[in-house]
Amino acid sequence: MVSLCYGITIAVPFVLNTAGWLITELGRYPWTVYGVFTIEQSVSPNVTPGGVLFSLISFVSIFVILAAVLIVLIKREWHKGPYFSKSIDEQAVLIDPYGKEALNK
Amino acid sequence: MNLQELWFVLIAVLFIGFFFLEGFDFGVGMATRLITKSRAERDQLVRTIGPFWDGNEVWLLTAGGAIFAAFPHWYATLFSGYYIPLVIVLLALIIRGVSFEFRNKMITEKGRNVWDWGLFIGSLLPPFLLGVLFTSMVKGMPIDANMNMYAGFLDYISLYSIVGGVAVTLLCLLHGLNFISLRTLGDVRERATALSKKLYLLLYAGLAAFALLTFLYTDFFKVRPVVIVAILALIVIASIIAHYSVSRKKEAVSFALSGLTLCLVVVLLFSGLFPRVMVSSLDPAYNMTIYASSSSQYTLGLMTKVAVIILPFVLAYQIWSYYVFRQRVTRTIDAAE
Repeated sequence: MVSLCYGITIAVPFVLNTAGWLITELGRYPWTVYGVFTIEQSVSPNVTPGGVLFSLISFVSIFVILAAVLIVLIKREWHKGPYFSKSIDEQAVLIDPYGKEALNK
Repeated sequence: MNLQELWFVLIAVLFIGFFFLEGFDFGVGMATRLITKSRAERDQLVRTIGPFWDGNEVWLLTAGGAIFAAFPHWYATLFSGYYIPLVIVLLALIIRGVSFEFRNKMITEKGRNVWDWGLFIGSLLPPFLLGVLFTSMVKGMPIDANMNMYAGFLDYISLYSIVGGVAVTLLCLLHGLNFISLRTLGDVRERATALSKKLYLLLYAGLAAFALLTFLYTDFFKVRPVVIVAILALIVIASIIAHYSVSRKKEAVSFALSGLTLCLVVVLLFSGLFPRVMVSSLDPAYNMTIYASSSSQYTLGLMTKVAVIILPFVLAYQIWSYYVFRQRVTRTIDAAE
């Protein structure tokens, strides 16, 4: 149950962020620049429907793949729990880029 | 100098900054597949550009943004006309950007290899496609009276644009190899120097072909014969001195000069174009000039003020980041080896 709550809280900022974008983009309909031109007037005459379809499919696919990888990685980190093991702490000290040791090496 | 001319020069400066800086990190990305023998060495190469590559990429975004604000008609024609090539550039840059993060986070060897290949391809495609874009743009594209560009595959791809794409990719690779020689210790430093020395021979052939095709495909030699010949001569001289410095292991000099060569290529393209921004292959009357493509005097004036105020800070923190990470990068001891 607690674990599920963690999962939801990780997802919520992403969902809200995307929802905000959807509101700005869709809420402006049918304008591209509010009160100046409509979406219909802003279409590039020389970009073909095939080209637009290609970009849409490729962007959606790449973001779906990246989202899947991101979810796997977040899940992996989250299963490690909130406690740092001592060895990781020691490593963090060794590679601290702002530490004097890192500069003098 | 009026504001249109000033912004044309500033956009050239932004592309110069982009090719000088991102040029070497594209080159380092390509070198991860060419001069390394282990994962530890690949990590070593990636760490040479780790703190810088995203800052370098911003120069491209700024150049695109400056075109958008200063020359909206140029932006509209360029970005709509090169829609598919630019989509591919963007996809390659997205994959490249995440591969820097994801390659370390994979737990299987296969997973790490996938993102290592993403880094390589993402570093190879953008300089090639941008080279193709710029060379085909100066050659002339089918732009009509309404500033719309209806280009087919064969308008993008010609012998000239392929040679231009390969030349820019090769220049970035050499710049990256010279950067590795300058910034690392150990085997990769030796291998980078050795490969750079060999590749300069290929570059001479590429530059000769590029100069000849520029003469055949563009009007540069008619528009500004003296300037164009002078810049080409400087490109050749810079390459020869860079090549000599690579053999003599003067790493800082060879890095500075391979960067200068990239800068001079941008100067060549922009001085051949001026005062045009896009060349029409249909009719010289449809050529787009800086005067017909620019935004209003008010916008240009405001942009100039903002640029003068902000630019020193941007330059200062970028220079500072290079200063902070000035030490040579060594290979970490890898337990798996």
